[in-house]
Amino acid sequence: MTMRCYKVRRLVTSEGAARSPELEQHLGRCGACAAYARDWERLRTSFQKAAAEPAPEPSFGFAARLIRLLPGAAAEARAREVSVERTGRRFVLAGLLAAVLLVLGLLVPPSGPVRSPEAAEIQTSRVEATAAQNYPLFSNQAIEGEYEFAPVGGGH
Amino acid sequence: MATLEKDDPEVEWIRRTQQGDGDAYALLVSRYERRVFSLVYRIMRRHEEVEEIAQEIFIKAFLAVGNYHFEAAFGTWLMRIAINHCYDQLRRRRSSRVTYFSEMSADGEQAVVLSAESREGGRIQVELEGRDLAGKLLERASPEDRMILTLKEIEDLSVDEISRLLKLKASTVKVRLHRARKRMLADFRRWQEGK
Repeated sequence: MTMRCYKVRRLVTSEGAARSPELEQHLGRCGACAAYARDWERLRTSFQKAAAEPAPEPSFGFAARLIRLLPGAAAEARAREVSVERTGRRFVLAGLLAAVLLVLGLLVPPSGPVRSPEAAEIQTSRVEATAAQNYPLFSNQAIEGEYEFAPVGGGH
Repeated sequence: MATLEKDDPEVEWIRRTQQGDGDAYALLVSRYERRVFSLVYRIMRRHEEVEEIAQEIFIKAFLAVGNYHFEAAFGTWLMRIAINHCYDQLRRRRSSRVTYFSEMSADGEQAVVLSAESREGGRIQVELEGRDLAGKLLERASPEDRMILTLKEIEDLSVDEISRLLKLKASTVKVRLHRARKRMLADFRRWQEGK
């Protein structure tokens, strides 16, 4: 059974995979997979070189200097915690206030000059009258005076 | 406390550190400083940043040591903090991506200076590319790929060790590793074609 290229490439890059004769055979036949294996080998060598590069050493007295910084860092962290707690508390209070206002708004009865049904009717008729003044085309008078309408359903 | 020996003084140092004893923490720092420096350098690849980042990691660990419950080895717990901190730094760095002269190794700087002065600059550049190839490709990779490839290919950790450090299943680590390698290889081939 012949191996597929995707499987070969997966095996080439997977760690510790011993190259089977079948894999070697495929690499011998398939130029693209052979190039893939070569590139991976080059990359792996480069990783090994990077791993061999020495890391910088801690400078003299690193631990002692660090320990001197700890009280300040702890105080700073505590202050940050307090500030976050305060901000959080403010958000909670603001949310509660908004919720109370919303509930109050919903519970207040629909009364008063603007909210009653009569007042609403008066308001509507006022608006219509103003609209008719400003736009005579839409008033009944203008329509009756300027246009002649053909009788419904009848011809001449 | 499966991972720590009962007679290991480290247990005592950790307990004292949890009570705020700085001197005990100094002993822990001395034990792990080289390991943290090495990990930070391998991931960040900038000499001048290593000490500062290592310092931030040890401070973070000190502030969080109350949450250490001896479930994993202290070293693993500390390395997890280091990895997370480096990951945050990488993401921050990626958002302001510039190649600095100072990012190069001493050899790199010297080669650039020489290439400007010498007619053989091209040859030196090729040598530099060979040496810094992994570094360059890692610099271009996403923080996720960079992290997992560094742990596997440069730190030479096993899949199980990586899964413990990143708190991932071993199968997830394998899949991510395979995808990261594939992407890096594709990037390497694009880079070669563009040369």
